[in-house]
Amino acid sequence: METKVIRVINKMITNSKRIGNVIKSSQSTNEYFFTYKGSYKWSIMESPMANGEILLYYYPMNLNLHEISMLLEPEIEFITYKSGEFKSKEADESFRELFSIVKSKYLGMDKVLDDILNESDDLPF
Amino acid sequence: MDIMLRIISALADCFTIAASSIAVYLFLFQRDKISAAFKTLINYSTQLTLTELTSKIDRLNDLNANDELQNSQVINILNEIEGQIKGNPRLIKQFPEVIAEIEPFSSQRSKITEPKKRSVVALLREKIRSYDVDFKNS
Repeated sequence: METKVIRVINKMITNSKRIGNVIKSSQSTNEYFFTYKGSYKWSIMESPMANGEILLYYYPMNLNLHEISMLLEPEIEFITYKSGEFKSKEADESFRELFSIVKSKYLGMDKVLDDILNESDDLPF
Repeated sequence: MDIMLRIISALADCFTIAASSIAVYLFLFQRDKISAAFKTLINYSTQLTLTELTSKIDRLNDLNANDELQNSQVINILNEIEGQIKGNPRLIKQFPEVIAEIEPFSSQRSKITEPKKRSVVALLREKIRSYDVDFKNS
């Protein structure tokens, strides 16, 4: 079971094109909601604690992502996976990479980077 | 001269009887101990392989598969792991998923990337852990 989570995370990193609809949580500062393959709803956040643990939540509910992001604790169903619980280097790296991918998607970094890279080099001045 | 030969051959026969009776005795009455000794030897070698696999996992973790130079090292270690599992009849029976997972990368049919490497490491680590527990309880 534990391993499956790590493997799923790495699958999402490999197929990061399938991560979509990234929205920022209105309640916690460093949490991002996203869907994978359009229908699986997740959120990922960096813990504000000093250890900077990454937390990954899965929402089995039949609501859309925006509605889920608005719900508060008691009325929401979710499963939590914490990077610290796995106690292995590969787990920590996997959680962290997924978090940075989701965050860059939210900030539209691939477009920014593409735009900078695709600019032609021979400017008039 | 003739007498000498006879004495020697009689003596030799006595030793043969003594030696084979020891063998028969061991076989009949100490069979458990002998098989236990062999079992310990085999267990020891499996345990050794598991320890080596664990240290290889740590080496894999320290390498970055996305780096071109380190990528070939990753493939080398994967080949070593595959060889070690295939070389141990018990492990190959227990770890077929690991072999299936590693094979495309070790034969370089598909390229290993950092997330794929982490998946392999996670799977292998869990397999070793659960096998180790069964093994110590058996």
